[in-house]
Amino acid sequence: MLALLKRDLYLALYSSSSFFYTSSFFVLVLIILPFLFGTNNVQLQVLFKGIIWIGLSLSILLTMERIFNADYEDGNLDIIIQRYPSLETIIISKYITHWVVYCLPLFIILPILSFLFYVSLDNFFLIFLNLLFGSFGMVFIVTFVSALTLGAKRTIFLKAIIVIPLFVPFLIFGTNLESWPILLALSMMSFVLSMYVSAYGLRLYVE
Amino acid sequence: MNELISMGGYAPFIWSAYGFFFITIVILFFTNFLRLKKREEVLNKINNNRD
Amino acid sequence: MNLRLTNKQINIIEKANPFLIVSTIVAFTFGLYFSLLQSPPDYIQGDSMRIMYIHVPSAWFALMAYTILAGSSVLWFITRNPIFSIIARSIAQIGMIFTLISLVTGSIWGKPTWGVWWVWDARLTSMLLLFFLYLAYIFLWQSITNKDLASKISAALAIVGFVNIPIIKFSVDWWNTLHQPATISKLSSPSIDISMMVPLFIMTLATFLFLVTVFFIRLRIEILDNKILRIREVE
Repeated sequence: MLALLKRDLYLALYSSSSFFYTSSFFVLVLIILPFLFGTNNVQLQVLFKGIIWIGLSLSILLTMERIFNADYEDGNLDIIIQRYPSLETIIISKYITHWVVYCLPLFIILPILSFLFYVSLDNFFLIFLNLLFGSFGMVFIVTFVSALTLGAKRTIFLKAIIVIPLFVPFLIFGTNLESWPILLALSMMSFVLSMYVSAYGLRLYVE
Repeated sequence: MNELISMGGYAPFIWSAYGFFFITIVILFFTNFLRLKKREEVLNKINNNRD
Repeated sequence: MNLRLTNKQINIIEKANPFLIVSTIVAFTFGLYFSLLQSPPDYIQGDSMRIMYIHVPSAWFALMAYTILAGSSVLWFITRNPIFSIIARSIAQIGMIFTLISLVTGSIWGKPTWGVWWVWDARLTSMLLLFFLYLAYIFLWQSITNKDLASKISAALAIVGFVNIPIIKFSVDWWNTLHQPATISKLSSPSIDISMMVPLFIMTLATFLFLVTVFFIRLRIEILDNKILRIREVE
């Protein structure tokens, strides 16, 4: 399990992108805000809560091809599955990798970003908690959709059409500051669903 | 008859809604019907070649 | 794959077609007569409520089609009988079209009633998301070239979507109570008068007959596809 995780993390961080790229992406998505809507403090605070979710969704969604596709196309997925007979181990390793590479940078730079957008300290903790619990669930969802669509053509728009309706509950509750328990519950539900569906998808394609 | 067409002032809404409904279902019916005919043709051709 | 359909069943599906087409046309003729001429205008909404006679049946069947889609996907998982996969596929396109019809007619009905074409109301937003669930199902099916694999994958997606529907409904309802615009009050639904029940019932029946007609045609397309595929495999 650890060896697999180490390999996944190593590949993700050193071959395709790094913490630096992902955090720059988040900063740039948020920098658009004042250009689009002006520099009114109160308005920016309100918009910040929404745009940060768009940034997170895009970061997770646009990179979802990297979860299984690269390994599937060069045949490594077969080797990994033969080596680690429990599919659950592989899936959990993929969750951790995807979350660390494409979500964790957001949480590292979130203090600076909320400083830039005049967010008060109390609100900051609530936003942080919401994003944290929401991001888990979104990674679970993206993983099982990616496992299901391994053999599909024209993939990224197809995947977006499948994923965005599944993201809607997270986005609805995510912008409300008091609803982190609901986000946690949603994430747990999507974990259970994701484990079953990802294993089902992987088994179909690898056979 | 005029009353039927004017629909108490709501004519554009009612006739466009009914029009959209019927045009859509007619298109749905004919696209599937033509696809069925195409399949039947292909099958007939295969059967003729066999004989 | 073997369809496990008897010739008698296939015969019924084929023979039913002309009968279904005729009865659909007859039912729609009666339905139009009653809904456009015979029924009185509503005392609040006037004649604009006549749109209800096509809007409500399409919305019902849009929801019913997704239930059939998910139900037959579950049955497919249990029995692995390919007929359920074919039923799911045949109903998906019909369901998507009826969702589209209910959205468009609802929007046309909304203009005279609410004064705007679209309201971000819980029911409308859920229907819009349902449309995208259908779209995702159909696109996924089309984009996988190995059709045996595609039916397994899209069955899983149909079930995931079905699990998601109550969650979407719940979250959209909750969101709507937060952002309910003050000027627009929800459509109150008093008990429907008997004079409106008759056209609504006939139009529902007619729409149902139409749905069955197209559903049977699609079943025949799938059966013939299967036959052609098997002949080609043998050769």
